[in-house]
Amino acid sequence: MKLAIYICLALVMDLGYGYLSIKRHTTLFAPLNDIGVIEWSETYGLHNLEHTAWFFILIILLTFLGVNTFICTTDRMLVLTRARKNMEPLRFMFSLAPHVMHYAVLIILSGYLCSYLFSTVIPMKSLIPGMPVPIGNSGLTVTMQKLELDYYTGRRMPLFYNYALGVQARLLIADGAHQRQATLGINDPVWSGAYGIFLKDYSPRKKDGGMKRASDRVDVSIRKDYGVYFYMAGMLFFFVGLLFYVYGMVYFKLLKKGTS
Amino acid sequence: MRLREWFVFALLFVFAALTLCACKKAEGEKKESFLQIGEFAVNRISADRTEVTDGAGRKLLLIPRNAPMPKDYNPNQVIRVPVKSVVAYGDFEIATLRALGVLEDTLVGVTRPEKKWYYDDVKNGFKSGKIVFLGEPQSLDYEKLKNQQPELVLTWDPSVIPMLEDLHIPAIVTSTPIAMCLNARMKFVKFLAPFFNKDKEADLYFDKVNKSLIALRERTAQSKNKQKVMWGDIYEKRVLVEPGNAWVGELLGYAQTNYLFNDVYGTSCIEISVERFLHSGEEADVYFTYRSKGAGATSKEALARTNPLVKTIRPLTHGKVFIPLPHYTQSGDKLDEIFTELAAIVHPDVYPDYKLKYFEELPAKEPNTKGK
Repeated sequence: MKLAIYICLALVMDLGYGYLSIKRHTTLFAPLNDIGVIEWSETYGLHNLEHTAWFFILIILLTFLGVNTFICTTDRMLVLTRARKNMEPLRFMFSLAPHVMHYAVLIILSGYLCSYLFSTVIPMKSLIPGMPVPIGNSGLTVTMQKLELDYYTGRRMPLFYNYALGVQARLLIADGAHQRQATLGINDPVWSGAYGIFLKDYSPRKKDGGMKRASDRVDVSIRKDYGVYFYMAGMLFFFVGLLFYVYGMVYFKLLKKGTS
Repeated sequence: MRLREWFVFALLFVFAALTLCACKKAEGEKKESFLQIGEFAVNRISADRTEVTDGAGRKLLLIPRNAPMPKDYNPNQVIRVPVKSVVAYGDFEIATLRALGVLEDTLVGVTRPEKKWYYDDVKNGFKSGKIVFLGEPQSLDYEKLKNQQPELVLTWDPSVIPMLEDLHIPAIVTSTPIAMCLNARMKFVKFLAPFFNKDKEADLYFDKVNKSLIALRERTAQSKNKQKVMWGDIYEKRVLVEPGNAWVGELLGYAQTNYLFNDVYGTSCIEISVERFLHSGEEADVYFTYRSKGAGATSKEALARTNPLVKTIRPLTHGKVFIPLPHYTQSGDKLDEIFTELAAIVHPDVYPDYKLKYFEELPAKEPNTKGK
């Protein structure tokens, strides 16, 4: 328990330094999402240690926290399992809840580790209307059929007047044998098998801007990332654990009231 | 409990050892193996393989001309070096080719017509037929482009990439989502150098520019005035300025001035509100406009006529206004001179008798109406 508190304090200090470092040297950390932690460490990371050391320390601290959490939780789980015979099934289930949440956090952390270690990323592909674009070695071909921009026409924010604040790109995704249509938008990625297609940028940004320099296009990044399934599962476990924990608290409180 | 402590200590030891090894390796390979230039990067994987990251985050592999095509790379993203023919969109990229000493031998296509060029090397290229105008960037003539057989296209427009990939012409995107900082502006020559095997020339050029930066910093430190500077313009429908993270913002900071858009962050020529522009205009001493004489900026009076809001800013009434001369944007290979000139403009007291080459101060009234 003591060790966990020390690690958490160290994490707070490390993340505080990391916050300032990211704020001042954004371009150093931006490629981390695209190239993964190993390649990033070998290039940007190790060549700018004065600004990136906190990140390596963060990994070490998170590993310690993870190992410590796993050992402590498993210790308690074993004690609980041994005491199971003397407990009511419902009480046993409720007392497992905090440990389920601890395991869930570990699953979420390993999901992120998996993402940064094993995901395949194509950082940027530009799509223009009617032009099929092959996606790496995936066998997929993506064609943007139409780009629909939703321009702001309100008067409350004059700076954004006529700016494209909403974007919908109609895509045709073909994998050789089949093809299907999908709509890509801001915070609305398109999934095709294990591949996710995410909107990065689009053009034009303004209607009749006067300085329009480029034709209609969207820039997308494409990710094949199995880590997502881990953190989805982790979040689900955490939610279930939390539900049991809260329910247990209320249940025992009511039980205590009833008996007194 | 004891087992856990042992386990934790063992892990701590392994991580410390790994970190030390990594640091040692990084120290040893620091200079030659990896170079980050803003959002661009050059990663020398081996003697025959250099991986570059362009402004859009795309990776391209540079290999010698006689090397076999690597199987782990898309052929459209493999460039054989030294590159022998280039099409370039931007003035700064073309000026960087000049700084590397490869412009005359390699440039075969541009997106600006012949009459709009000011330097002899490009003009002569047009005359000899080596350089061709390929059309405006928004309506590029791909037939002409293909005929020029470029081995590399330097473009700021990512929307041409799909077409170029279809034509099997490798391209790099030279624009970035965030404005190029001063360091990136100065080191961009080191990004283009591996494409032409001109690393020594790039180092020499960078050293020259860096020396000018150090010199201007020392000299402007002696100045007693700390001018307040703004750089941008009000157009009919929008207000555009250079943000504080752009190279001009950083340079003016180095030159001991107070750049009034330091709090603005983002892309070059970023749009801000009229109110924000006018707020800075109230206290500015020096104003750099994007407009040239051709765009109507012939005097403060003429500038005020283009937009009544501009006439209220202090540099038009009590300060100084500077416009870029037409050849300024094509002079990116003279960064040392441009830096010094900007320092001389904002600190005339420590640069007496300096003659402007890239900018011009606007008179209060039209020259022909003076004295009336």
